Amino acid sequence: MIKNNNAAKPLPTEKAKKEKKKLFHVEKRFNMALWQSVLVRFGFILVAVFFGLLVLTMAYSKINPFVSFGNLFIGAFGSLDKFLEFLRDSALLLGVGLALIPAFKMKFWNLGGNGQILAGALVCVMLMVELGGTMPDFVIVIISLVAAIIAGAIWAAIPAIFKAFFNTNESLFTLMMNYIAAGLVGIYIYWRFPDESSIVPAQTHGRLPILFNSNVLIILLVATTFVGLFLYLKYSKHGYELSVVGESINTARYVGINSKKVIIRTLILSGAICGFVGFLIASGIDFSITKETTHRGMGFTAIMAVWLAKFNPIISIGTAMFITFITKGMSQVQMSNSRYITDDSATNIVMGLIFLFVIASEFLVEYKIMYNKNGKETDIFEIIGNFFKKVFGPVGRFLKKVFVPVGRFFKKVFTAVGRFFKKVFVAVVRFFKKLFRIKDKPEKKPVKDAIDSFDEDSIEDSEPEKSPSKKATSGKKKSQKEGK
Amino acid sequence: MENIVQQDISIRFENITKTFGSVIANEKITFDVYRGEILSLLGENGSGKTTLMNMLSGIYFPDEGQIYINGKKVTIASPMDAFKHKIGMVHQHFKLIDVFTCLENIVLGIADKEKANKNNARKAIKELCDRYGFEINLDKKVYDLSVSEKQTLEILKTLYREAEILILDEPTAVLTPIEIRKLFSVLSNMRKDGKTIIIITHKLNEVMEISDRVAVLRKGQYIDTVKTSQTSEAQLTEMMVGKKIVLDIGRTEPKNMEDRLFVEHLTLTDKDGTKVLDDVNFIARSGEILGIAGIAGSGQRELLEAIAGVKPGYKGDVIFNRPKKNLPVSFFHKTYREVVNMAKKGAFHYENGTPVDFTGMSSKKIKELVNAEKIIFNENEIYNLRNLNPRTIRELGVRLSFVPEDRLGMGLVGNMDLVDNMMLRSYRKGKGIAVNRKKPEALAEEIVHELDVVTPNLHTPVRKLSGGNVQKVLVGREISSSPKVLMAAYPVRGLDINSSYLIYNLLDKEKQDGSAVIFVGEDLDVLLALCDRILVMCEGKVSGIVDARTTTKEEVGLLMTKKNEDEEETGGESND
Amino acid sequence: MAVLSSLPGVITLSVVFLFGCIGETISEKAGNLNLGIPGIMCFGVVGGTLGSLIYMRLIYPVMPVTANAFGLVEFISYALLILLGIVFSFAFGAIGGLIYSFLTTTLKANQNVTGLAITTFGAGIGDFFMSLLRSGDGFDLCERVGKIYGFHLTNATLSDKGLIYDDANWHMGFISSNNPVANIFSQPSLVYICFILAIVVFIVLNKTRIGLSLRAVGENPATADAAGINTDKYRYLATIVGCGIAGIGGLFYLIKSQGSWDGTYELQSYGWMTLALVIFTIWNPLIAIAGSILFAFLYSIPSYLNVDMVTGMFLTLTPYIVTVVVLIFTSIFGKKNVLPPGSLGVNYFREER
Repeated sequence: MIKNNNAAKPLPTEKAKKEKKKLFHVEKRFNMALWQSVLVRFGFILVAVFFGLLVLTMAYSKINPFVSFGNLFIGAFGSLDKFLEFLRDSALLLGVGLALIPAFKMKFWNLGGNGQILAGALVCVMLMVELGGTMPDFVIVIISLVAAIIAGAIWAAIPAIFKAFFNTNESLFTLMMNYIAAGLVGIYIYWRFPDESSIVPAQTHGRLPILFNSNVLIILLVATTFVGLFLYLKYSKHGYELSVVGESINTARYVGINSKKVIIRTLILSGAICGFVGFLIASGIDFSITKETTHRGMGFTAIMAVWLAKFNPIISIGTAMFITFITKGMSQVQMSNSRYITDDSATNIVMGLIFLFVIASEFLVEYKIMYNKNGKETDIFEIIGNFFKKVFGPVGRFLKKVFVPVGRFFKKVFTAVGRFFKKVFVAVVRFFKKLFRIKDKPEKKPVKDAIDSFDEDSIEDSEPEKSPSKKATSGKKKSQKEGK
Repeated sequence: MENIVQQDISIRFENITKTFGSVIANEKITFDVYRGEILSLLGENGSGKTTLMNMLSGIYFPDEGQIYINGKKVTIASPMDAFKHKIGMVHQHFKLIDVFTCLENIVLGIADKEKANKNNARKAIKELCDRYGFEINLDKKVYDLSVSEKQTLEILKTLYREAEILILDEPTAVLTPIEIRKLFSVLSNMRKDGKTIIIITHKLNEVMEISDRVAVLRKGQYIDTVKTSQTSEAQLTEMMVGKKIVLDIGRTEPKNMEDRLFVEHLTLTDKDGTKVLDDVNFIARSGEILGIAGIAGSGQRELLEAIAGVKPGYKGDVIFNRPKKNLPVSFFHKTYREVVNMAKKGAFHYENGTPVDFTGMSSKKIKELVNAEKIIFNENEIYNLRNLNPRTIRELGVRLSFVPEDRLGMGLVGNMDLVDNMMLRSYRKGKGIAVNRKKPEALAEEIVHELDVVTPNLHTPVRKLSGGNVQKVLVGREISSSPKVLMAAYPVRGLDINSSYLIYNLLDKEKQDGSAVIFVGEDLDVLLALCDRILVMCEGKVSGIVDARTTTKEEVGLLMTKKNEDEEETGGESND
Repeated sequence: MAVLSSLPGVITLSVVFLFGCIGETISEKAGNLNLGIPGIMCFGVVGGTLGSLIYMRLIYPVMPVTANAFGLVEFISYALLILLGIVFSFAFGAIGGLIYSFLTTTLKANQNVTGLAITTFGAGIGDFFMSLLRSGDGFDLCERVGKIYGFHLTNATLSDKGLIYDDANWHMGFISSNNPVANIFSQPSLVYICFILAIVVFIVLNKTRIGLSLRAVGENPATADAAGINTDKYRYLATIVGCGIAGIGGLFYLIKSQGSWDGTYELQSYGWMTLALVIFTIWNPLIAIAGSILFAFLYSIPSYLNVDMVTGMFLTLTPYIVTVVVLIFTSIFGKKNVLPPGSLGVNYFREER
C-alpha cells in the first residue's frame, strides 16, 4: 500500500481520481524534531533487543530473559575493570568511527576500515618485533606510531586516488583492500614465526606506557583524537571544504574547490586515524597480531555506529558506547549461559536485529506516512501523537518541569566547556601561526622568475579594508535601495 | 495543406488547470487537436507548453479539467495509460538506456509477448522505417548513436507501440539543418498516414514550415489557435509575447562607462560534441546592465558559467580590464611573500608613478614602504580569465560575482547555515588552518538585516528558507564583495513581486556603484525595463545586441527565435 | 599432475563461489548492490541443514540409501535429499533477500548499510542455529548430511546408524577411479546443477524479456519506469531470487566441507570473495563459471602444490589483487558495456506526481 502503484486502470474519471488517493501514501518529511527522531529510534532499538532476547528464550527454554536483560548491564558496568574495558572498547570503536566520518561526509563509502586498522597494526607489530631490544622502548613507540599512521593512510589513499581520478567504485575497492591487508598479516606471521604454531608471541618491547591502568591511556588518546577531529571538521578550512564537497560537487566547482584533492586528502586522514587505532590495539592491548585483530570487523561495526549517528561526531560517542554496551552485555549473557551458547552468535543476532530495526526506523524519520480518511490526510504520527498526548499529557508536563532545568544546567556546563576548548584551540592556532611566520623568513629573496598566481585574494581584500567607509556606505546604500 | 478536411477531433482539452505550489502552470486551457494534422504548440519559456503535454502523456495529472481522446473522456494517470490511448511523447531529454541496443530499447516494457519478440519487432520496425523513411541500425548500442539517431529511435519507440498521437518536445533543438529536414519529411509522411502530431516549439520559421495550425500559450494561458496559412511570423510573435506591459522598475542612466569585460570568440562544446556556445562576442561595461535574452537552453547558463570559471574547457578569451584605482598595498590580508610575488609581476609603483623595483631591497625596507602606504597598485591591469577556475580568478584579485540559476544546488549549500554559506567565497581568507566565522557572521547579520531575510536565526540551514529568502541570501553574499562584474542568471525566478523588485533594485544599485552587471532573464518586459542593452542569444550564438531603451518586445522576440541568417541559407543549400 | 589431481577439489570450492556469484549478479543487474551476501550464505547453511534434518527424520528412515543397490527407491530418496536441501536453503536465502529488499526498495534505506547489517545478522543466525541444530540430539547431523551429499568424494564408510556404502558413484553415471580426469566428473550433483544454472541465468538475463526489463531497472530505473516496468517488483524479485541462489551456495559449503562446521568465519570470507568475483566476471554468469574456477584454483592451489607457506599465502591473496586490478581497469578503460549497472547501489525514488 505504501508503494506507488503504477499499474493503470482506465476507469471513469471521477471514480479513478478518487481511487488514486490511496489509504496511505508517503511524503518526504522535512521537519522532524530531534526528540521525536530519537524517540522513534530508541523505540525500535527496544523492540529489537526484545526480539533478540525472545529468540534466545525460545531457543533455550532454560534462559531467563529477565536475568539476561540484567546481564546486559553487568557486562558493561559489572566492575571497574569491566567498565574501563567497556570505555576502552567504546573508545576504539569511536576512533574508527571518527576515521570514517570525514570520508562518509564526502559520500566516499570507506568499507576498508578493517584493512586500514590491520595495516597500522601490522606495521606496528613488525617494528615491535624487529626493533625490540635494539633501542629504548619509547623510541619504538614513537616510530611505530608514526609508521602505523602512515601505513593506514597509504591503505586508504590507494582507493581514494583511483576514485578521484577514474571514479573507481570505492566500496568494492576498499573491501578488497581489507582482504589484502588480512592476507599480508597472515603472510608476515608465517614468514616471521613459522615454528611457533603461527602466532606472534606477545611482544614485551615497544608497549604503550601504562597510565594507572592499561586502558586509561588508550581512552585518553582517543579522546584527544576526537577533540582534534571534531575541531578539524568544524573549524578548519579543510573541514569546511570537505563539507562543501560532500554536500554538492557543483557548489565546490562554483567556488573553485578542487574536489579530487579534497577526496584524497580526506581519505589520507581517514586512513591515518584507522592506522592510529591499529597502533593502539597492537601496542596497547594485544602486543601481537592476528587476522582478527579488528575485533570481529570493527571497520564494519563502526560504519553502523556513525551511520546511526548521522555522521555527527558527538552523537557517535553515544552510538559507539551503545554498540559496545550491547556487545559486552551479550558476551556476559553468553558467558552466564556458556552451557548453551558457545560462540558470539547471540551478540551478532541481537546486533543485527538492532541494525535492521534502526535502518527501518529511518524511514519513519525521513518520510511521513499520510493516512487518508474521507479525503482528509493526516500524518499517522500525529494520530498516534494525539492519542499519547491525551494519555500521557500530565506526565509529560511533569517531566518537562523536572527536565528543563536539568537541560539548562547541562547546556551551561557544555557551553562553558566548549568555550574553554575554543580558547585552547585558538591559542594553539596562534602558536602555530607564529611558528609558521618565523619559517616564512628564509624564503624572502625577491626573485625574478615570475609565479603566475598569487596566494589568497590579496588585492581584493586590501581594498575594502582600506576604505573603512565601505561597510557603512553599503549599509546605507541598501537602505536607500529599499527606500525605492 | 488547407485541402485536408479537418473535422475529426482527436484530442480535446477542456479547462485544464495545473498548479505547482503557488505557481499556476496551466490555467483553464481549452482547445482541440484534429486527427491527421501537425499542430504547433507555441509559447515562450514557462508558458506551460511542456506541462500541458506532460499531462497528455501521463507524467502529470491535471488538478482540474478533462481530456477527451476521440470524443471519449479519459483518465491518463501514468505513461502506461498514455500508451493505452495510443499517445506517445518524445521528451526533450531522451528516455533511453545507453547500454542497450536500439531494438532492445524499442521492445522494453511491452507487455504483449508477440510484440515484444525481437524477431517480430525487427520485421515490424523495418516496415515502419520503409513506410515513413527512417534510417536506423537496430543492433547499434544507444551510446554509439548521434543525437538525431536517438530521436529517431524515440519516435520509432512510440510508433511501435502503435501511437496515433505523437508529441514532440522541442524536436529540432538538437538537430542540424539537414537532420531537421529529414525529420520534417518523416513527420509529413506520418501526417499522410493519419497520425496526429503535436510539436512543442518556439521557432517561428519551423512553425511556418511544417505545421497546419498553431496553438499559442502565454504565461499558462491559452491565447488562440490559428491556421498557419492565415498567419504571419509577426502575428505569432505578438500572440506569444503579448502587448508591452509597463513595469515600474527605476532604471537609472548609465554613467562612468568603461569597458570592463571582453568576451571574444567564446566557443564551448559539451560532452556530446554539440556546440552549446558558438563564437560569442560582446563587451560588458561598468555602470550598465547588460541583459541576456533567449529561449531557455540557448546557452545563457553556459555562457555565465564559462565566464565565472565554473565550466572551463572553452575556446576563446574572457578578458577582464581592472578598473583604475590607486590603492595602497597593505599587509592586512596578505603576507610579505605574496606582496613580493605580486611585485615580480610588476604590479606596484610608487605614488609618483615609478615602478617599484624590489630587487635587492631588504625585507625591512619593503615592510616599511608597505606600512607607510607608499606602494600602490599598477593601473589598468588586464587579465585573461580563459579557463581559470573560480578560485584562481579570485586570487588574481578579479572581483567577479556570479548568482547562478541553481541556487541551492550551486550557489549555496542547502544543508549549511547562513553563516557557513557566507564563507563559501571567502573561507580561505586569513592565515592559519582555522576558518574565521566572525566576519561571515557579521556579514550574514548585515544581509539578514538589510535585505529583510526572514529566518529564525543565523544558524538555520538555508534549505529551510523560502525561495525568496534563499535568493536574498545568495545575492547579498555576491554583492557584498562589491564586485566589478556581477552576473545573475534568472535571479527572480520563482520569487514574489516584492522580492523581485528588491533584486532589481539591488542590481541597479550595483550598476550605479560601477560594476558591470550581466542579467539573464526570461521575462522580456523586465529585460526591457531594467537593462541598458540586451544581448539576444539563439542556439548558443549571439543573434543581436539591442538598446533596451529603444527596442521593442517584438524585435527581441524575433531575434530570440531567429537563427543566424547565413547558417540558415547554407543549411538550405546543402540540403538541396 | 598436481594441478590435475587438485581439480575435483577446486571445482567443489568453485561451486560455492559460483552460486554466490550468480545470485549477486542477478541482484546487481537489477541495481541492488547487496553487501549482505556473506550473511545470506549463512542463512542458506541454516536452511540447508534444516532441509537435511527433515530428510533424515522423515524420508531416510522410509527410503534409506544403501550401498551397492541402486534402484528407484534410492534414486527418489537421493533426489528428495537434494530437493529438500535446495528448497530450504533457497527459502532461507530468499528470506534474507526479502529483508534486504524491503529495507532498500520499500523503505529506501541505504544499500551499503543494509547489506552490512544483513551480514552481521546472518552471521549470528548462522552460528546460533548451526550450533543449535548440531547439538540437538546424539549425533552430528551436519557431518552426516555432508557425507551423504558428498559421499562419492570421500568414499568413506559411514557405519553408524546403518548408512553404509563403498563405491557409490552410481548416481551420475561416472565411475570413480584413480584416473584424475575421470574424478573431475565425479562431483556431487549440485555441481552440475550449478553450472547449468549459470547458463540458464545468462540466457534469462540476456535473451529474454524478463532479463531485458531487469537490466533496464538496474541501468536506468527512471526510463524503465516510464516504459511501464514496475521497478519495485523487479528489484524485489531479482534480489529475492538472487539471495535464494546464494543461499544454495551456503548449503554447498556444507557439502564441500563434508559436514564439518567451525563457525561462519570461513563462509563469510567466501561471501566477500563472491562480491569480488562478480566484479571480476563483469556481471556475466558465463564468465563466472571460468572465474569461479580460477578463484577457487588460486585459493586452494597452495595445498596441492609443493610450495612453502609464504608463497602459498601470496597465491591465496591473488584473487583479491586481481579483482582490484579488474576494478581499476574497467573504470579507466571500460567500455560502457563492461561497466557496472548504471544505478548500482542507488535506490529509485519516483518523483511525486
